[in-house]
Amino acid sequence: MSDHAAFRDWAAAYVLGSLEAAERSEFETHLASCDECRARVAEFAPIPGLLSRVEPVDNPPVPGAIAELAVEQVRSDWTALRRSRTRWRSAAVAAAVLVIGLVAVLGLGLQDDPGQTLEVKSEAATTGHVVLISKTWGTEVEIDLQDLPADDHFVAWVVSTDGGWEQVAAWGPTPLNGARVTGASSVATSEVESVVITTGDDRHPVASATAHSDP
Amino acid sequence: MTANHDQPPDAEALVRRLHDEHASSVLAWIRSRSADSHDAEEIVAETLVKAWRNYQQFDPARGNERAWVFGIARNVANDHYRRQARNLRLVAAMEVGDLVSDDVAQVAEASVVHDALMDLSDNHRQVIVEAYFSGRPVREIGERLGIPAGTVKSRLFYAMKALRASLEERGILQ
Repeated sequence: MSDHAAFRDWAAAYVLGSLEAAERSEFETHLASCDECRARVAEFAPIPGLLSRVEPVDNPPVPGAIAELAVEQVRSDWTALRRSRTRWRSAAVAAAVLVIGLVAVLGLGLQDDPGQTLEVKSEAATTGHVVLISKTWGTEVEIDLQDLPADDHFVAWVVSTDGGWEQVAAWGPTPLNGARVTGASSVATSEVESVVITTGDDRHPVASATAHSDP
Repeated sequence: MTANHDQPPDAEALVRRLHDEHASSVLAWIRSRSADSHDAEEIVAETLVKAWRNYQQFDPARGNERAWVFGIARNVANDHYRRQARNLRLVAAMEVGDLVSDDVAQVAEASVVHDALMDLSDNHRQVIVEAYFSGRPVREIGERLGIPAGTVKSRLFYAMKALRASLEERGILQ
């Protein structure tokens, strides 16, 4: 017991290789009979291996511009999404009218455009395509997606060339994380810049498909 | 009220937190692989934005946030260099190759260990640096710091306790 008091603090120096030869063998003799010191050595043992992978120098200072650049980009993404939502709300009544009109127009079968197929791009694993079909009232948007991220609510938006956003469809989770939905937008097909899929609640962009832009 | 509903749940706060916790490590890593510091800064900013956009996909069960952010940074850096190589044909293939071949999980883990070391008190870090990185024996450390050898041993002991606790807290040790 009294033996241990003399060696109580030695385990760290031992593990880090800082004991000189005589002290080292003295401590090793003590280790053979001291559970507590063995436990300390075992506790510190993984640390040198971890330290071998680092340099004990400060990281370079992070220029303030990095945070500002990132925050500005995020803000601008959000401004676009928020504007779209406001527009959608104010257009709710018009949309109801539009749906009635849509049914009427579809019933008449006036248009039969084969559509413009856009490839879906995503930071995530999501793949698929979007077809824009020109209609007298705007654009029919056929969305076919695979491998959506896990979420319980998705929203599809049409972004027009003037920067406006309009919600065209919303749906919930599907068993295979895919979705085939058809939406409608009042934006003329020639003025659709892209179709963006976001999560429903947080409005995180999930995927987008960009229309073939003019030269 | 409605405006709040349309606001991201603290999107800006999330980006700032990701910045504060990871930007310096990501920047150090990218800089160690790239000659151009302006490039490195752009890559870090883009990494933060992408991390925010895809934050939903971060799954703590599959690894720590640092490793996830490093994975994004590597993709951003690869895209960046590939674009540059295409446009300017200036970038040495080495740089891209190094980033690709780095084991992101290991680099990220090392960066967390680095954080733990650098977050120790100056006294604690100093004795560990003297003992481990400079390879000095206890007696010599005592002479350099003007303290008795017994104090060096005890300071090393508490420094290693603090480092171990910090590594546990950061999920590196259990």
